[in-house]
Amino acid sequence: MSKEVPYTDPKKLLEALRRGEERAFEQVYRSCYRQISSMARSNSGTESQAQDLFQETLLVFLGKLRDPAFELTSDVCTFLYAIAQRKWWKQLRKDSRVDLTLDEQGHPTELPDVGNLEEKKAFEEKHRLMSRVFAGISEECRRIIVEFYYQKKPLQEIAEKMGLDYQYIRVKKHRCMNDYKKRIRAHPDFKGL
Amino acid sequence: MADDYQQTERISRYLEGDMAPAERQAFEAELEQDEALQKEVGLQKEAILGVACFVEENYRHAIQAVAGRLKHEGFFLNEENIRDYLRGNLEESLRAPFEERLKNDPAFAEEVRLEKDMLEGINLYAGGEEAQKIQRVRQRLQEEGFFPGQESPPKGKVVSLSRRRLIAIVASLAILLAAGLYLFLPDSGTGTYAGLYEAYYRPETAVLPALLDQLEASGFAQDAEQSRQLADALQRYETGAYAEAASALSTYLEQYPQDREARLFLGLAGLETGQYREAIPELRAAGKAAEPQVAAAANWYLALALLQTGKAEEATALLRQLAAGDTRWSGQARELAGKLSAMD
Repeated sequence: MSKEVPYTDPKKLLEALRRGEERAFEQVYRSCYRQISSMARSNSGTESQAQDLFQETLLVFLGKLRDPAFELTSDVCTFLYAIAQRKWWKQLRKDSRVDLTLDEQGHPTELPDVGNLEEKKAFEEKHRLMSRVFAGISEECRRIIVEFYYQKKPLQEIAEKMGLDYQYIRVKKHRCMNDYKKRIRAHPDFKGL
Repeated sequence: MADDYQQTERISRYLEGDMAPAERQAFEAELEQDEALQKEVGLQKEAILGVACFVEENYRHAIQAVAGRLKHEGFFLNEENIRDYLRGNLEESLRAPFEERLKNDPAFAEEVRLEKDMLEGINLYAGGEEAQKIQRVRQRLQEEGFFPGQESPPKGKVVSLSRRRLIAIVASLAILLAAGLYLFLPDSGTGTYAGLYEAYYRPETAVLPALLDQLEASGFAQDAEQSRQLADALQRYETGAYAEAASALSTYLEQYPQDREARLFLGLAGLETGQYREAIPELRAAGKAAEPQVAAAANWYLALALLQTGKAEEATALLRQLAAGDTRWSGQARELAGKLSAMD
């Protein structure tokens, strides 16, 4: 099996991860998965749970990379392992809490807060709808908005990278946001949320 | 309300902290009064959260695509799957990826071959024990006259055997005798422990590749030099230059004495070069590693080193601890502890 290591420079690997490049994800899988899988499987986990844990860990890590102030002082695998370990112990604690709160008849003594769950579901549905709408705006707009709002890059840097004038991109960002909002308002499912 | 574009621009500037204090104050006063503006600000905030959701969904899809591809090539297969495969119990959906990986990954093929040899060894040993038990029962029944029409061989009669049969029996006896002396006879002294060591010692194949992969992908800021040094020493170990690896690891450990993984491989290099007593303190230190796989590997090889140096009692205690866990060494530890107990 070929073990591709497209990014030998750690900084470039992090940049590629920020861009969501599949080959960067693959490199991280090949380098870091075994350790995390072994940790989960040695602690009551199955292979399939280990795979889910790794995916969620990677998403948490990508979330951290959004913060421009974030600096990685250890290697990626060590960092992922630490996240995975915390997540896994949290999961185990959660599972054991469910077991411990069963009454004599085996019914849970603490019922989940349905109101909160429904609120959470509605919140997620709304953002999923917005995500679908956002996918429909122009590529240029998506790039500007993602880099500005999600990756928190300064407009000047985005303008330079895209080869655009600062004033142009400043106005363009507002136009893009305006277009995005208009599309949200016009979506047939929006009012139901 | 101002036109859409201007409104969006104002809200953006407000949300991004881009307004002068007086303008901000005016905007906030307007916001308090104007319900439509409040809704608009709310929508814009939600729209920004929608962007995060969009990016995360894209990440998730990309990660799932990678995981799907890796699954197809058998990347997620583990030692349990290998055992299932060899026993013919592998889940049908895993068969194709298993065979694909077997074909394309020499290290995995080697792992499967080792596991197969080990299973056959266990079967052979168990089979030998079974055969001896059956033979004993048969002999007892024969003595009781259980078998109808049996005739005791006349005393003093020379039973003639063909030369080929004779050679086969002599060869079988020699093998049984050698195996018995070497492995199973409890009163044959330290030779027995050494025999068990030889029978159970296999080069380490689990921690090393993962560690080298990890080091390959590392080199991050503070510990780049450390990673390079360790990778260099481990690569020597990987190529079989054990004495060189031991020397490089010793130098490395002078600088990074807390590195338990380096201690593990220094201990293993000691076992490979016959420095069993020197390997023991290194493996003992590695056994305290936080990473369960490293600790388990260190304890397994520590038990073997203790056995090789005649410290069977301590080895047995350690093997029992390993057997109680759930690591790749647990099965072998259980088996070896059983054999050692039988020798007491």
